[in-house]
Amino acid sequence: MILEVDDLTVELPLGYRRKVHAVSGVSFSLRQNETLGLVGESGCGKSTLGKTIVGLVKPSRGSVTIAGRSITTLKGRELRLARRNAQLVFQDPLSSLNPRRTILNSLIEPMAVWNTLEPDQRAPRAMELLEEVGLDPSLIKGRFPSQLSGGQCQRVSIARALCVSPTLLICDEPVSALDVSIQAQILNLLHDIREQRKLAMLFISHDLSVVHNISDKIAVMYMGRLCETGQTAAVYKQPLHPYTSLLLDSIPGTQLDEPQSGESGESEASGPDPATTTQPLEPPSDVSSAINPPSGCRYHPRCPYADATCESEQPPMRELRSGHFVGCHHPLA
Amino acid sequence: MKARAATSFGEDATSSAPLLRVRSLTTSYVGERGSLRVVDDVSFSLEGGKVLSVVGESGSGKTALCRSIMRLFPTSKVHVDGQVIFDDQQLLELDDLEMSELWGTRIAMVFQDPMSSLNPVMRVGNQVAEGPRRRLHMARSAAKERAISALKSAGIADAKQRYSRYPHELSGGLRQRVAIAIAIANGPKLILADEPTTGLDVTVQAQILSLVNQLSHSAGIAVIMVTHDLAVAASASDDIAVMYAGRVVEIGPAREVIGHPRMRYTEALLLASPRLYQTPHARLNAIAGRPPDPLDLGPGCAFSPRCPHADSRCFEERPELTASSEDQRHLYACWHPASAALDEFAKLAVK
Repeated sequence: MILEVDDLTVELPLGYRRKVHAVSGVSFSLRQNETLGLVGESGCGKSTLGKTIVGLVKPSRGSVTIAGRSITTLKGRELRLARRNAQLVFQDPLSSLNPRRTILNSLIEPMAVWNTLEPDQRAPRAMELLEEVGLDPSLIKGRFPSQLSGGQCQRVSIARALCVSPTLLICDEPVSALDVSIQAQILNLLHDIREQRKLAMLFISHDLSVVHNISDKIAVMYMGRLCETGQTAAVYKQPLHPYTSLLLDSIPGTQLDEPQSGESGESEASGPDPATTTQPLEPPSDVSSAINPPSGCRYHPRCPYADATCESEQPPMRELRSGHFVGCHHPLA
Repeated sequence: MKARAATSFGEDATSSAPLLRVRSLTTSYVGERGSLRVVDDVSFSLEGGKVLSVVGESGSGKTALCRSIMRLFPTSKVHVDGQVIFDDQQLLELDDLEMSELWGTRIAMVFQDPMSSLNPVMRVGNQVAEGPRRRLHMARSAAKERAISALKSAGIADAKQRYSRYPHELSGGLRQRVAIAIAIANGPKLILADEPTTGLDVTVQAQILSLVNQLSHSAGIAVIMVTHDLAVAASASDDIAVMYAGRVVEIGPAREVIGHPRMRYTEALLLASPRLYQTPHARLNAIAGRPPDPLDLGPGCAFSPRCPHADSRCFEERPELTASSEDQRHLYACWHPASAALDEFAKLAVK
């Protein structure tokens, strides 16, 4: 296992004894050469989870282990070494690069910080990395981020993340700011890099079509908790959690993916009620938030199947099918 | 130069004059480096009760098109040529005062980011009521009634309580509903929505899109929706116009444009988007290169440098919009339109 996250809880203090329950009791693991897609709405805690894994945010409980080293208990030099294994790629490529530094210098810096190569070998290594992410090194190295397009900047960010040869790559919405035509290039690139370097990748995104394309496994997050995890194909084909089902129904343009004749052989995602697909489109109530999460199952105020149990008891994660876990009292199967 | 075929889009012989007619609209920014055509010879028509999505990558001129129709450009810096005929009025010939009479009453706009388009220090209800009070000269109480009903039409439950909230107290989806309520409060005939769902969660996006469609169809409002997302356009519009480098390169009924794209750029965009019918890790057909520099466009088709089907003609001669032989309402500008490959794609689309 490259990454093991166990019962991770992050509570961020707001003052006046109030706190944001950003991440609550999240556990999962990630193997070499495997991509986990983490999906959820904005504010559900997916970015906080990513930051906690690399040690940018202190968890209040639980543990994170990267390649056998515990991020949560180690200190000092040991911690630094452990963190080197995990690198981040952020959403906005332009603002994640130093605007006053040439691309070459931006790439050399992490190597200098980690003291990985002899100083005179760093520049050649940076050139190799630029080549690896599909840029022309001689053309790009002396430029500044403002002289590059968004797609090129994102390629540079990926190259920078690879500078210290990490075993885990965390991508936080890496293609959300890019146009569709560029997005496809970056997704293909990330896939190739993961294959070649046998990386473990955590891919955080709100875009369900993108996550479907790049992930082996999916984890759906709602208000700080994981509500469903499983193999990508299985989760998309037959979601077990009502929230996952709602998310999948909300993907725009899916009706075009279905046969036009209307003979929907697959849409019998047999739930408790056959009228699952026509969930009322109501604005979700504003009362529940991560500051004051609902009791029991956190999804119950929005859930069409909620009953008294859902209100009082938090559903444990159960393995309903092999490798397919769901945290719901009334799963859709 | 003027495409005759283009002028026919949206004008059926059966129907009367459409609500909005745009004729050879060309918008140029005048700057130190010369003038920059951001909208180039765009023509289309739109009837009441219909939603037209304008799709394109960033910099393709979709927002500039909206602003040109709305006349939101300073005349000293930006030249707008052509005709915009809205309800038998030539918008480009009106003086500023006459134009401002139309803003908010007959034509309204919804912007991308409701947090920055709403006034942060004014209660949302008052922002909705401001239109009826200022434009329709309604009394305070009548305007409030009007605002509450607009908020309700925009799908806001307990509109009376929400009336006195400030924008920061509402979620992103609710804020966008407020922006829509402001747009519909005066009963406009045309709404221009610039990326109305970008930045919203998928579940909220689905709600907003269905709201826009429902308002358009029930109240007979014509909607131009700008989006960069083909899937959004496909799911929520009657017609789609695809823009590339300032020009409309393909326009037609949504199902035709998405189901049977003819222009190679539209086809490439569709093939580049990850789709759920593909298996995980399916290789995406990325479009090589990047969008063209608008200051450095060749004489030919603007997409030719990135197009796998381009030949010398594509680089030298610009294709005009021509009607498809199957559907007269489906126009495309391409020398080598997809046809055989289209069947392959259609098969893909239905699995």
